[in-house]
Amino acid sequence: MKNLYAKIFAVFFLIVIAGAAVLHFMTPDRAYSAAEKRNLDQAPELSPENVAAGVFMDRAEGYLQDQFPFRDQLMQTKITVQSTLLRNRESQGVYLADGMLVERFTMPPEEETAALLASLEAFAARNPGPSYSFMLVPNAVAFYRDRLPAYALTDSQDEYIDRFFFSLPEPFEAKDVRQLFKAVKNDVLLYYRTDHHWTTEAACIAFTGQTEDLAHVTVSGRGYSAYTVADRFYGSLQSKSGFTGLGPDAIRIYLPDRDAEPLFYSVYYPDTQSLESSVYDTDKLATDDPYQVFLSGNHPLVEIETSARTGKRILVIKDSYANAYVPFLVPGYDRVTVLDPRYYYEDIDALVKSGRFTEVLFLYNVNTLSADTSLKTVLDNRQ
Amino acid sequence: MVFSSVTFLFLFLPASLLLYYIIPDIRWKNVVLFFVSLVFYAWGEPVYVILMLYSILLNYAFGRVMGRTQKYKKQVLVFLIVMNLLILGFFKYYGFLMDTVNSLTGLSLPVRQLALPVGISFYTFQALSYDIDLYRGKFPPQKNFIAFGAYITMFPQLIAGPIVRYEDIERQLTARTHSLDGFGSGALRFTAGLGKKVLLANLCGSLFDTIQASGGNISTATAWIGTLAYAFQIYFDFSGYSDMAIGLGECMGFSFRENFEDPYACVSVTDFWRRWHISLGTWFREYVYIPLGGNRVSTTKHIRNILVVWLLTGLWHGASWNFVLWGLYYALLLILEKYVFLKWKIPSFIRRIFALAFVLLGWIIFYSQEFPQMLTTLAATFGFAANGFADNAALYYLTSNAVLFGFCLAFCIPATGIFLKDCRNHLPGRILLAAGGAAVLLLSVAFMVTENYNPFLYFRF
Repeated sequence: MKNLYAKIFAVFFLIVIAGAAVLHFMTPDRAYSAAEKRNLDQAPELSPENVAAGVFMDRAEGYLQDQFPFRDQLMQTKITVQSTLLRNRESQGVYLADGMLVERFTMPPEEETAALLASLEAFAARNPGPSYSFMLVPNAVAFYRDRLPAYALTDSQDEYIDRFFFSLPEPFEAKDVRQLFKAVKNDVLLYYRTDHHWTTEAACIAFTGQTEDLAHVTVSGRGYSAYTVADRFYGSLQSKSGFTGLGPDAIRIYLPDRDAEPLFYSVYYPDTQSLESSVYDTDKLATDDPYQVFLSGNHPLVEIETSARTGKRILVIKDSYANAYVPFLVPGYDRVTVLDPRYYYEDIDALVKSGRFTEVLFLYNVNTLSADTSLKTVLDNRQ
Repeated sequence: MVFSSVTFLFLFLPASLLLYYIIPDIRWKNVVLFFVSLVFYAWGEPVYVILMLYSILLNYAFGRVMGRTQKYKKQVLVFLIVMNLLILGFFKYYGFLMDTVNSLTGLSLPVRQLALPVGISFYTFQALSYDIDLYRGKFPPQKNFIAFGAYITMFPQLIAGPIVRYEDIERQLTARTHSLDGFGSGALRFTAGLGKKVLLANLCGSLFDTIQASGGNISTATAWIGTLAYAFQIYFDFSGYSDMAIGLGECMGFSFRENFEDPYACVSVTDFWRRWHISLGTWFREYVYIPLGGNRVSTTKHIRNILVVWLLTGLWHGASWNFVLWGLYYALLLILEKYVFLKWKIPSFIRRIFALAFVLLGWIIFYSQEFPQMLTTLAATFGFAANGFADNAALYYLTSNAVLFGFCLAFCIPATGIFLKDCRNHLPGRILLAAGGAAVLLLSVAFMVTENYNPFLYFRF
């Protein structure tokens, strides 16, 4: 009787270790984890070469971890213990803040920023003609520091933006949205609670400068209204950090009102050679990244031709924040070309010359720009 | 393969235990143990398993030779010691030695950097303990190759200790009992070790890494928090590994000696080393310190003996100058304690504080591979920090890890161990042990499957 507890634990221990092994081999492997938004490791190939080089053994661990029975539930348990019992509300650089997930900002080395600014200057000098502007959008961490855990560590995005705009060379015009956002930060949901992107409302404020009655706005003389198209959106910050319980988020898009003057346009994606009639790809709403509804996600290049007849052509060089912003540009230009340097490997100077643009707009969010190297590579035109 | 990996716990362990337990006879159980241990080792070191087999064969064969000759007994022992140390020296210290020679002489002799075979420091020391004690006539040579092979390779203690001396388990190799009670108690011990490693050491380790990553931009408070995090990490990592080894041994009927006894509850540095990595301390005392004369010699020779032992202890931890410095630091502290401090009358709580402070400063030397970084951290702990006494970062690290530190502290004080031991004596206690064990096991699994590969700190040694 005295050692009954040891017997019971012995049986429990064996059931757990052998049971998990049996369950693993009985259940089919998963290819993809919706909770983590990533492909899971698959069984490594058992070959003499793989074993001799130790590759098989190295990959086996990752495979077994990824395909472990009840992995999602175990992950949830871990993050809950960490955030509630241990009171550590940070995971993978993401803070579990009051009512939202907020990504930490790390100031890049000054030399990197200076080098990027020099590349911007040289690029504009090589390609005179269009007017140049740079919209640098802060992330949630810039406005909601008071909602972070006490003493949370993050560098100041304000300081980064101030420095960036201060040193922004001629002929660039700085587009600073901070005053607009600060005025409404407690009234409008500017950032998704579970995702690193800004909301469509935030993009609308940045474009129109209008901060009230965001359900109906006027864009290039046409009336637009907001519609919710997805309401089960669990974003990237949730899958990155593992913190759940704040979602789901809703995604809204702006569509022209019925009585607005009709506008015809086409959207062409050269990488997939597909021609669409809308900037919204509603097929993406059913995927686990519904933010891709805007411009069908990230593409190296998107060419939008419109019937606006304004005589204006714009080139947008951007990260994914711009995807929610570009729809507002469409009615104001004959042509909107959208270039994402992270996937673009062509000659940018040739593109600018042949496009006969009247405007070039850079649109980045601070977290991407400060950690990005692709923009400088593309601007320097070294493919 | 490490114990806190999914591969070990859910693939290797159930398969090995199944094989081990379906085979009835103890001699065949030893065959299974030897075989699965080779698989265990080859899993992480597919090539060096041959080196280990060579080492086993060498010590087994010449051990038997030693048993047959009286005349050349000493020569055989010397030969074995030289051979073992040559293998260890070549694979562990050759690169370090050549780098040192190159930098001292200004030459640039070519150095081939070899990967360190995992566990070589541990199994070589086990083999040496067998050779020396055999020479001393403590036991007859092991004639059964399988039993000898099982002693050296036995997977629970193969790669990170404790260093099991042959005399302690000689009988167990041929006669040991297996029971469900023993298995359960071993599994519980293993689970406790797993929890220490996965739940405490890894979290402290990630805090330590974060603070290390901030370079010299730290405050005095942050430097101490980082050092404290490292002290917890290395203790729970290493003692957790020892617990797992002892527990796994128990699951297969073995009984190993304890390797840690609440080291941070020490009253002096001398006391710390009686409580920390006991099997290594015992090894050096038995095979180096006492043969040199120990403390029963003149003061000068005694000081020499301490210096030799601690220089070697430092070097055993790694082929790098900071480990040498770390060993000499302890030699100095132990000499000072022996001849000065321990003769003073100081209240015990002050002794404890000083002992702990010296141990913590020791860890800074231990973890700093680069001298400039060592000096920056040491200066920061003494108040010469780039960011003043305490900054925002220190407050954040403290507030977001206070609960973790609380748990760590609770498992460092002897009262917790006494309480857990006492739990076996009454029903509520036994329920607590079984339920607590189950909770720790499941929680550790939750932390394990989401953690990427997490090697033990003591793998480097």
